[in-house]
Amino acid sequence: MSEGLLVPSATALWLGVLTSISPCPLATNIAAISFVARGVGSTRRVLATGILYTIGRTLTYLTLGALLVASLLSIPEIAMFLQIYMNKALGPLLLVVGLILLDVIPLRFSTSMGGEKLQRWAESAGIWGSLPLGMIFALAFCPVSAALFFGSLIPLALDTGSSVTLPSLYGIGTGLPVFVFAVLIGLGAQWVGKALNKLAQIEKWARRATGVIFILVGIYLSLVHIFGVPV
Amino acid sequence: MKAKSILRTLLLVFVVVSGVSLVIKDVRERSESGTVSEGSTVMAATAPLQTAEGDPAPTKRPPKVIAYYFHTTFRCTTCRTIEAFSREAIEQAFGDALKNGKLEWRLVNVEERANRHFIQDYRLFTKSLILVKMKDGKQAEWKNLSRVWELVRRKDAFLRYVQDEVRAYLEAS
Repeated sequence: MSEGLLVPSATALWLGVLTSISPCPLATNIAAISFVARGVGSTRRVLATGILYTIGRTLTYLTLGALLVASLLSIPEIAMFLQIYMNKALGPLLLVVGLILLDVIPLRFSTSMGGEKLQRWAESAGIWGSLPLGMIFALAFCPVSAALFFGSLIPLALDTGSSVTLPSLYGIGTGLPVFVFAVLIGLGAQWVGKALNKLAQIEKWARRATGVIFILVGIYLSLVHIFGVPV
Repeated sequence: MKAKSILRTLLLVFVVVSGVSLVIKDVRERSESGTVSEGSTVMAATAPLQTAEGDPAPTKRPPKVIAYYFHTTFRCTTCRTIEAFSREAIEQAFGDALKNGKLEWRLVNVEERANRHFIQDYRLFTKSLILVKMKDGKQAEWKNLSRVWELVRRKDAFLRYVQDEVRAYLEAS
């Protein structure tokens, strides 16, 4: 990286961190943390889920940044569209995902799949699911994140002509606090589980808690964004 | 088991109602925007801030400044603070200008279809405070006070920033 990009890069990363620690995306961050931390049985699974979640966010900002810097999208139109519609769609979506996670809505599998194979598939789907989760959560712009991304990061990317590096670093910055928290909680729970010899039980409850958190966050987002209940 | 199935039904009903209400609201807004005349949904702030909206239009209107606060239907905590501080900054320092119509305060919900044009007009990407200078009834220039997001945690600096910018616009008009 050239020296000229060092300061803008650090700024982009910091803007990302600022975005994720602002109060507005707290609800989706809680859902993300619970999703990443739920695989407490395996350190590798927690790390892989967290990394994929961050990559998902980065991909969204990278694509948006590249399209905006190339002037293929208009900043005001896309910024306001995402703020108005994405948050509204997210509530019902999270509710449905929560119901799937709790097995209330069962996903139908082909009967030819053996039990062990099915379990492996469900586990890897859980890990890979964090990629689209990161992509979708990144699209749900809050007023603060819109101000930071469209108002600070994109002008910076335009100034430096960096349509890939800076939006990517911003994406990593937005995923970083969630990643750190999720890994700490996941590993903490693992440690407690091992110490008490109840790891399998803790993992079962962690998975259930994720489903419940998704449902609660889904209800909260629907009430606020669709039904206009004041917060 | 029975409680579980009741809960499942309730949650699924909630998902369906949310989805349906989303679609109904959108369709209703689309049809309403066809009948409502442009600008009529622009909300003027209540007293003591007054707009000159109802005044008979003189042929040669005096120059004036309009301070717009643009928001969406969802109002976050920080956005409410920005709105309240902006209003306070203006009321505190420009009471006379507000009374004699040299300055106006307007609250606009850009989520309402009739107001959507403001998004393109002022290149809005989030909740914003915009100053517009009017000369002879026409818009002469405008400015986005984008630092409101940066200063929202420092009230004194926020009030000073807004007052300095409004003052500069008023003096130049």
